[in-house]
Amino acid sequence: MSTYTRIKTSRRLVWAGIIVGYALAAGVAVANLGSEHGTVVTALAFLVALSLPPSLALVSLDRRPALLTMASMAALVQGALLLTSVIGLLGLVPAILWYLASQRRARPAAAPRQASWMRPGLAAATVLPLLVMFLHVDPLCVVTDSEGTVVRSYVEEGAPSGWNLGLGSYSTGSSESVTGGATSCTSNRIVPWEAAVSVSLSALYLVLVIKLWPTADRLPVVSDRRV
Amino acid sequence: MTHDEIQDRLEAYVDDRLTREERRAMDAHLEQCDECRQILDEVAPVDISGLGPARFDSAAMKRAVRRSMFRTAVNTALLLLAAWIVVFFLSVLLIQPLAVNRGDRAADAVRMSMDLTEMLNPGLVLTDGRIESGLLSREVSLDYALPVGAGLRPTPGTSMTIGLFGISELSTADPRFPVVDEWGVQSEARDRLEHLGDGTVATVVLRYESPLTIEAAQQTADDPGADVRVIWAGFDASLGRELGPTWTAAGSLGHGTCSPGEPLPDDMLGATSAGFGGVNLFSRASVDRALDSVIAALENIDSRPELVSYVVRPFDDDPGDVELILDELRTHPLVNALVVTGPTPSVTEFVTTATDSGATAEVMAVDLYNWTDGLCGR
Repeated sequence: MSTYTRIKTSRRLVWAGIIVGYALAAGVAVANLGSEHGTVVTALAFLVALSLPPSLALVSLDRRPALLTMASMAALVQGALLLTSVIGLLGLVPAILWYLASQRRARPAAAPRQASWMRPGLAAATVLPLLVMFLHVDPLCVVTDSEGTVVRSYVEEGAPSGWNLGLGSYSTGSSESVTGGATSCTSNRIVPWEAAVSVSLSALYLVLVIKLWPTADRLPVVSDRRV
Repeated sequence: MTHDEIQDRLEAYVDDRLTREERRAMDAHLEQCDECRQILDEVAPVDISGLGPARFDSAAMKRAVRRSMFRTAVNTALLLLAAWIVVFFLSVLLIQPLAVNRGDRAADAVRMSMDLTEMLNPGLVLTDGRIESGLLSREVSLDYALPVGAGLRPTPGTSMTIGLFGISELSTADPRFPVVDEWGVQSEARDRLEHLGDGTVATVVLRYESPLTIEAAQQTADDPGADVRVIWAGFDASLGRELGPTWTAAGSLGHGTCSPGEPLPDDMLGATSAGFGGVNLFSRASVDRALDSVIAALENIDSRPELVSYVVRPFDDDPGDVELILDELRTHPLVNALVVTGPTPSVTEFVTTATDSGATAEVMAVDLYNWTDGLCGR
C-alpha cells in the first residue's frame, strides 16, 4: 500500500468515526427528548457531552494528529460508561475506527511532551459532563391530589438528596390516599442546572483543548524528539 | 502550488503540519502526480527533516532516558487501570449471575412476591413480565390485570430488585383490591361513591375495642334485611411510612423485624426494604400465616363483592387525611360502615378520631400484623 493510500485510508477512517460518533450523540439526544423526563435542555446536554469524542477527532484533523488517540480513548471511556445498554457498544465503533486510523499513519503523530499523561487524563475527563448529570441526586416527586398534579421537591417529600457516588438511582412507588393522591419520586431526572453545568463543562473542555493543545507545526519535528 | 513546492512540503504533509488549504492543494496534486506519490513513498518512512550533523548529546540522552522511564511508568499505570476495568466487568458479568441466583432464595422471594399478588387477587392475570439486568442487580417487574367486564383493567405491578447484596427492594403497589386503581383526584373518588346503589341502610357494627373478625362482620352483613356497604379503609401504610414514603404490600404482610444480634429464622426468605431505608425480614412461615388470615378475610368479602365499594388508605402521618376520610364518609348518605385494618398507631389514631368526632360509621380493626411474634430468635 502506498503512503498516499495509507494517508487517505487513515483520513477516511477518521471521518467514518466522526460520523458514527455524532450520529450516536444525536441518537441518544433524540431518545432522551422522547423519553418521559427528557427535555430540550437534557437532550442538548447529552448531545454536547457525547459529541466530545467526535469533536476531538475533528479537531485532530487540523494539525493535531496526536489528538486522535485521545479521541479514541475518550470514545472508549464514554462507551464503557454507556456499556450498561447496548447503545454503549456503538460508542466503541468510533474508538476502534480512530485507533485503526492512528495505526495507519505513515509516521508517528507529533505530540507535545506531556501527551503521555495528558491523553488518558483528558480522555477520562470527557465523562465529567456525563457524570455531573447523574452524581447529584435531585429526586423530584410528582404528587397528584385533589388540586391536580404538582411536582414537589425532594425536600418536601423527605427523599435523600445530594451527591451520590454510587451512580445509582432510586424511585418510589405510588401511594394513594383518601384524597386520591399519589406520590411518586425518582432520582433519574436530570434537573436543568445539571444539564446546564454539563453543557458548560463540555464547551469549556473543548475550548481548552483547542487552545492548549499545540498544532503540529509548532512542535519539534519527530526526528528532533528522537535520540 | 507548483510541482516543486509540493515536493518541498511532502515531509510536512506526512506529519500533518499543513493547513487545510495546503493539504487540499497537496491532495489534489498528489491525486494526479505519480512522481510526487513515488517521492512520498520514499520520504515517508524516513524522517529526514530534522537531521543535522552527527553528535552525541549526553544531556539529551539523560532527558530521553527520563522520558522513557516516565512513559513506562504511565503505561504501566494505564495497563493496571485497564486490567482493573476488565476484572471489574468480568466480575460483574460472571459473579452476578452466580451470586444473584445463589441457592433458591432469590427465586423463592420472587415466587413469593408473585404468590402474594396472585393469591390476593382472584382472577388476576399476569400480562407482562420483564427481567432487566443492571450492572449489579436484576429487576423483576410483573404487570397484572384484572378481568373487568369484557376486558382487562391494569393494576399496579410488582417489581423487585435482586442484586449482589441481596434483595434490595420489593415494591408492590397495592394490587389487591379491584377497586384500587387509577382514580387520581377527589372528584373521581366522589364519582365512585355516587355509583353506590340506592337504599343502603344497614349498619355493620364493628368495634375496635373488642376486635371482631371479618366473619363476624359478614354475619351481620348477611342479615337479609340489610343492604350493606362496607367501606374498606385498607391496610395501613404505617410500616412503610415509618421506613419511608413507599408503601409496600409485602411490608405490611407477615413481616418480622428482628433485633440486631438475634438469629434469623431458619426459613427466612430474604430481606426487603421499603422506600428509602429500613429492612424487613421475611420468613415463609410468617408470610404463610399472613396470607391465610388475609385470604380468609378476603374470601368472605369476595363472596359479597358489592361490599367492597371504595378503598382508601390513610397516610399515617397526616391526621388531615383522617378528617378527609370522615368528611367524605359522613357527607355521603349511602356510606355507613368502615373497615380499618391494622392496630398500628395511625389506625389507632384514625379510630380515635372517628370515635371522637361522633362518626356514624363504626370501625373495626383487624390485626393483620404481628404474625411473626416469636419468629425472631428461634
